[in-house]
Amino acid sequence: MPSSTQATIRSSRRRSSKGRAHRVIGVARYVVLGLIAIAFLFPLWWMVVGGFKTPGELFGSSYSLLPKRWTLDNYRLAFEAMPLLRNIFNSIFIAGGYTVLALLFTSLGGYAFAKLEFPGRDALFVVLLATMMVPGFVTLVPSFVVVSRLGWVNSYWGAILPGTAHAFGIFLMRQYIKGVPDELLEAARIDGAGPFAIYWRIILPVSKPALATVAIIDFIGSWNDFLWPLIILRTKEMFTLVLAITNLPASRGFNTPWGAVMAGSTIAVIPLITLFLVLQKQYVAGLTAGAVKG
Amino acid sequence: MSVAALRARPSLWRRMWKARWAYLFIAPFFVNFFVFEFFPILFSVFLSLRKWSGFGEMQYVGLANFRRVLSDERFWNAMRNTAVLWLGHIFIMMAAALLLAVVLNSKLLRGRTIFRTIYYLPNITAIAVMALAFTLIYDTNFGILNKLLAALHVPAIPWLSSPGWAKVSIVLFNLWGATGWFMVIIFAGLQRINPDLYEAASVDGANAWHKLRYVTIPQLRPVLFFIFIIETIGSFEMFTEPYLLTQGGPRDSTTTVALYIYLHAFKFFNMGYAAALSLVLFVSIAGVSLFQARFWKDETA
Repeated sequence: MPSSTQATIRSSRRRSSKGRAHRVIGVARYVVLGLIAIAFLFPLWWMVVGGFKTPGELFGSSYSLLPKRWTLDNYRLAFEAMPLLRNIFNSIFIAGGYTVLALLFTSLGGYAFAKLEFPGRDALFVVLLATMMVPGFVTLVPSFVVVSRLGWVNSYWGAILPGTAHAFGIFLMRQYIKGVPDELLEAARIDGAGPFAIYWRIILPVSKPALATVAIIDFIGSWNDFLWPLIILRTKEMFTLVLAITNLPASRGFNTPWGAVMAGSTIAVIPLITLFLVLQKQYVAGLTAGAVKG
Repeated sequence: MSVAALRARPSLWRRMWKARWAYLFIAPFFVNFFVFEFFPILFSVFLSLRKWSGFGEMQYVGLANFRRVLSDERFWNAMRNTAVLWLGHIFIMMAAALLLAVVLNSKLLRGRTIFRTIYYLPNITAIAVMALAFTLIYDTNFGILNKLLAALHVPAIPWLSSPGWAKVSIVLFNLWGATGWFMVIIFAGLQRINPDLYEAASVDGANAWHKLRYVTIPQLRPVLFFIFIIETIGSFEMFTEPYLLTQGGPRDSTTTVALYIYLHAFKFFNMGYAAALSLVLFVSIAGVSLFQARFWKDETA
């Protein structure tokens, strides 16, 4: 009995000294992770507070984490320097339109590849997968020529349509729809439903999680896109928010109202971050599906 | 199924007609593919053999554009810059992302979801817009970075105005923007590793480093390969960062191939030459990807 007590004491003492070392490592780990977190958040913080600083403070010799004097002048200036409401509308319309069409096209394609039998299906699916490896920049110049021949330069069509039926989305939808039980579709078929009716009444409702994933990824991707809008959209009234803001330093050079640029940047970035935080689960699920399952 | 196979198969056309709905459903993808990918690749071959400003008549010039590529110092400089920017960040980024993913995978760590979200956040931001915020942060005279360094008695660094530092600035911006993406993909890969492997390693007396080296990394090989290829292709197309942070400067030190192609197509109106450059880029990317695929395969064998 005493020996066993002693053993317990000894082992508990050993555990506590080991525990202390663990705690030190644990604290150090939090410190390092915390510093990295600060480094990742800092540029965003600096952008947001920059939008509330006076020009004197933005380009002064001192610095502070919060504006010494809060001002909304930058926001007023941002609305004067660009047709900002129109730009916001353009961003919502283009990203929204892109997302809606992408949902339609990728779910239809995913359904066909997952559940319908047709000659050449497997070969066509291989082609679809292979297109994911084509680097987009390579086709930029000729794609622009195609769009300009269609008369779509500086139009919503040109900004929205190309790439809406994308391989990644079809792949993602196919993986999901494959899991829908065949009995469900068979029952509908016996009731006389055609392929489109089955798609509309069964596939779409049960695929909501996959649709949400495609929607959030595409909306954020399209909202943040820079290169394609840059070459397609030519007038300030047609610019997306991202394009309008980046155009300010490009067109004004040394006279750039940087406070207004930071204010506009905040308007472009923060709502999307909020959207992401709300829908983060779907987003990450879709992002990792291709990498891990593929 | 076997009964169906025994029955005489209806003709191909009949089967295709029966499946017409399916073809209709996949049509949007293939129309998009032909109009905006397949045809453009063919068209860029056609265009690369011509001189064309984007308006008016095209002029057939044979292989002149490709001969010009060979002697174009600015292009080869852009190739070098692209390669330096790629090598400058990809290994650091993969190592950092791997470490972060492994650390954040520990079930004992409290708040790991919060850390993961924060590290991922830069990916949600428009990098074009964030490049502007970084322009302010990097500013030699007024930027917060140099002000903080001054507090540590480090002399001002010409972040965007010296050829060497401009590359460093772009790499740092890349690390800020994309490490979280790598991390999330690796993290998903970690969830699929069989925990028994770690247990077996522990029984054999493996420490944390051994487990990382002999269990985690080999198990993650396909995932690491995937992000390596994706990021390599992405690096060779790098455009937005130099376009907005440095405009390719100073003295062409950050002009990437993509930026150079953009300039020829949309600023100098040399569509034919831009198409030829695009094809050279395409072949380079394909070559680098194939080489890497081979390299990664050899390693596993």
